[in-house]
Amino acid sequence: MAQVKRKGLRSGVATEFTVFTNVLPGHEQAARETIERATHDPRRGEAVQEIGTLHEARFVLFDNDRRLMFCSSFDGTWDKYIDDFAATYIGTIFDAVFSHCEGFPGIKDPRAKDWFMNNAREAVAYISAYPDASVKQIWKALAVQNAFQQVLDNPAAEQALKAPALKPLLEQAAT
Amino acid sequence: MTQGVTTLLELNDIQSGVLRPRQTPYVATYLLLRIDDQADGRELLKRLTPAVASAADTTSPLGDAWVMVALSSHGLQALGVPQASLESFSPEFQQGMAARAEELGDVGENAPSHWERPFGTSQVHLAIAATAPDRPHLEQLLSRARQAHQQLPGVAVIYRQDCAQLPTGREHFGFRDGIGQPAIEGSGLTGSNPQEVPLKAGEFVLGYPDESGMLPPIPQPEVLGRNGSYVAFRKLHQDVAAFRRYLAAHSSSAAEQEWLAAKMVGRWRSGAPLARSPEHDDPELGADPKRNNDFLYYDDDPKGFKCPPGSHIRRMNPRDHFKHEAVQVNRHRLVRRGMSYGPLLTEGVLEDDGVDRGIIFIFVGASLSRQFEFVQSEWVNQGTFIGVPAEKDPLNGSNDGTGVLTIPKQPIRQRLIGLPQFVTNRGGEYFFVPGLRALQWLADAR
Repeated sequence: MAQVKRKGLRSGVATEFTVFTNVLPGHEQAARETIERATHDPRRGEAVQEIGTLHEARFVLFDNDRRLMFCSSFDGTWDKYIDDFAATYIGTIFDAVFSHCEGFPGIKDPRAKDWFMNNAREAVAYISAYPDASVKQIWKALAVQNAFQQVLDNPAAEQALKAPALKPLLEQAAT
Repeated sequence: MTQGVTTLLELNDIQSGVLRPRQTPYVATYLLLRIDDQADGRELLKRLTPAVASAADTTSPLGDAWVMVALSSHGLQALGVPQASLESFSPEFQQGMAARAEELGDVGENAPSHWERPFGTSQVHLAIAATAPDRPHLEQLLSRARQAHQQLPGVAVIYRQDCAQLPTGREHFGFRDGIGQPAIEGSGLTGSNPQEVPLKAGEFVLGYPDESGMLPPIPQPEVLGRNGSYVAFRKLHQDVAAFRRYLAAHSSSAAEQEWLAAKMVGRWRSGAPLARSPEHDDPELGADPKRNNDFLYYDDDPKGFKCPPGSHIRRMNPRDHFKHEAVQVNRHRLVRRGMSYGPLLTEGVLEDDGVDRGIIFIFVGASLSRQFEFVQSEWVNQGTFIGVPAEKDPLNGSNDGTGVLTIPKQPIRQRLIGLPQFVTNRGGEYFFVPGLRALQWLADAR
């Protein structure tokens, strides 16, 4: 069993993962519709929560919709989890979309990983604005910020933040 | 797909050690051999095979002693297994454990350059694990084995490791261990968690459908791969003195030390799980095999106020922690057959005495990369899965003196800092445990 070398440049905790494929002749319209349907599905938001490591992803059709680029950033290395995703709702989206592409064996096929690898192109450069922050850390940070802002809206906050232990928070309170 | 159908396991062809838990009390000896002559190697296998019990045997052919036989990729080659067949084994098995150092976090002191020889070399071919209830029994068996291979100049014993259950019945850090074992469908052995659905046999034995519902590819030819399993063998040195010093330095009472130790591991030293007894130890619970593993996390303890998400046992088996996440824990389960080695460090001693002690860690399963390596790289040596990328397993992660453990606690969480490395990998290798027919096939001259 040949092992295809993993591709994807790293920036801090995240790895980029970019795949270029050929859309099957005659499938251009269907590919576009499948992608649109998937992104408008109310389960899409849940799906992103379920993965918990996906920073962002995009499907781009180009060259008269004959080519499809899938572009994403994940915490860690995607190939470790792709088998896990295959069994979930995300797996069914991938299956539906890539079924319109040349050579795709189906998401549950053991050769699916190799297909992704063979069609992936490692970036020459990958830059992140927050390389050390994982998705879960960002979610937590936003939740903390939200809570902090609620605290600041409370008239009692000014006095409370004068406590010596809260000095780092007081320094963030003015703007 | 074979959903809804329990596949019949060929128990009489699977080596007993794959499915049978270790006995208590136990003594064991691990021998590593090098095969210099193909014919002698095959002859040795021929002599060993009748001594190997199958999972269907309630008694061993040797009475009270049990023998398990495994081969590395180099070992299969030394036996004359054809190249095409060698290449049908998983890539990581072919590479050997030393080549997987980056994946496994075997860096710094764990790095193969520091390993005890012959680990990390191409000389480790055949592994023999012999266990018995006491040392006299075992020595009897070993002397017969010595006679067998001494007649064969083309095989050489190049390493020996003796193991024995400690008089305390615990491992070296003082914890009851070996509690958690997955239930395997069709094996006839119940797992230790009544709330857990038995896993498909194909997660641990080759040739059967696994949790994906499919039949995974197995090494070829079929007779060689079927009913076999992969093994990861690691000699893990435990720095007991450092562990004691850390606990002492970060707490102000003996009770607090126990609490800290429990938070790091996920169980009290008695084996009682924090999930069921979060405030204090419960030795009766710890000793009760019907209750000490009967718990899950998601409904009762999602935030980890009882059992920290970063604790050792929750990392090694997250159970239903990922209930609403796209992680299939059932594809990353471990069967562990570890054994302690080395003498106890006297109670209360806080300085290392230079004596080698620790655990021979053994993983058995169908996939080294999806099970053993995955848990090491994703759940032990980082914490991205629990929202803290930099945090590693406090007990056996490759910490470097700056390790952190977040302990969720109301109203303010506690954070342990400055965690050093307590467990060091002194060497290891990947092996294949063939089925009994496969052993015969390997032994037969071609």
